[in-house]
Amino acid sequence: MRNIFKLSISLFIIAAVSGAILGMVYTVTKEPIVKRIKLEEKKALKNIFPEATSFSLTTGKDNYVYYKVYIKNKLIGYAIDASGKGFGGTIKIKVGMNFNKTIRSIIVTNQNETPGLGTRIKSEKFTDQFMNKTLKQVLLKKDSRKGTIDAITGATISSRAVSEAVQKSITEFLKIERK
Amino acid sequence: MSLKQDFTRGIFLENPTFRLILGMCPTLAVSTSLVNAIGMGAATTFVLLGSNILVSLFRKLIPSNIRIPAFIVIIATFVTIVELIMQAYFPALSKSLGIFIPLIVVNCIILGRAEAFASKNPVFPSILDALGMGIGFTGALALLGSIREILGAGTILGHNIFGAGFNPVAIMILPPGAFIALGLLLGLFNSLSKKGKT
Repeated sequence: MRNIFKLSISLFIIAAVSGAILGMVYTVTKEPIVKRIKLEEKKALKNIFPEATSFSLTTGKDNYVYYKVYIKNKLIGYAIDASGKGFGGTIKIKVGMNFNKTIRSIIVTNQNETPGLGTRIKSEKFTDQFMNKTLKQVLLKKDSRKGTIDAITGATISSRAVSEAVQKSITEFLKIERK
Repeated sequence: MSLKQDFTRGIFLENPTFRLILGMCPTLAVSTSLVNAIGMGAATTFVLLGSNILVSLFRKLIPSNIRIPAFIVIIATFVTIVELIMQAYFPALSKSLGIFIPLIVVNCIILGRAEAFASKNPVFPSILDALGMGIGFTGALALLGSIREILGAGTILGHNIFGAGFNPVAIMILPPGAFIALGLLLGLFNSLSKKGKT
């Protein structure tokens, strides 16, 4: 009986000290992590709208969150989030929208695709294809007659994931904003 | 067992990847490129160091019956610290290593060295053992990662080395290529060590 007590105390002490240290590290790193995430978000937005002076986080119908993009006080476009299941996990994309329902440009912010193959979805050669496209044109050429996007050779799943995620996000956005 | 041997053992004679065959899961999964391999190796070495030092420091205090859960708590704490620090200060590396950082906890190399060495030896030899094993693991990962990246993507550290005409052997970047490359390297090192013995 005493033996079990001693064992439990030992394990408790080890776990308690570990927990305390972890708590400290968590507190110290919490702010830098939040700052990092905000910085990367800003970078992505600036990449799509380099001339913008401010981005305003807006909540529309049904708690849909997106950015209104301004130069001084003039609204010049929108930035919305897109995400979808790729080959190796969730792919996150920022989509810049013009007023006429066409895409300004897209940037892939998070992905875990196969290096050398699926990761090529980050390259401008792939993402530039999305510029000035409409909702129907955003599909892959091999998936739809109206599609205009060339998939990456050997990375169809990753390419399709991006194309479908962008399409889904635009559809959602147009529904909410009814423009 | 001399101190020098405690260090060099992990690099060659008892290389965790090619001789002890430990930590195969992260080895196969994260050796897709040289930079990923080095990042993973560095993170694992850091955790190995921390866990070996602590386990060795407390080896007389931790009751034998609960040593395995105690080691795991210590290792898991260290890995979480590494993960948080990476997310805060090295986000690019954190994103590319992804889920394999938390998986360092179940990397058999770390639990293996804690049980086989650190729990039975003083702190300084344990530090050397951790460094040797870490360097051995990182070296093995780097070798595998270089081969897979050069053949499978035509680049090294992201830089193109073959030019536009090169058609990469895509399978090397995918899981089958990992097994093939690792198997061939294991065979090579086995035959080299056999030659050394005669």
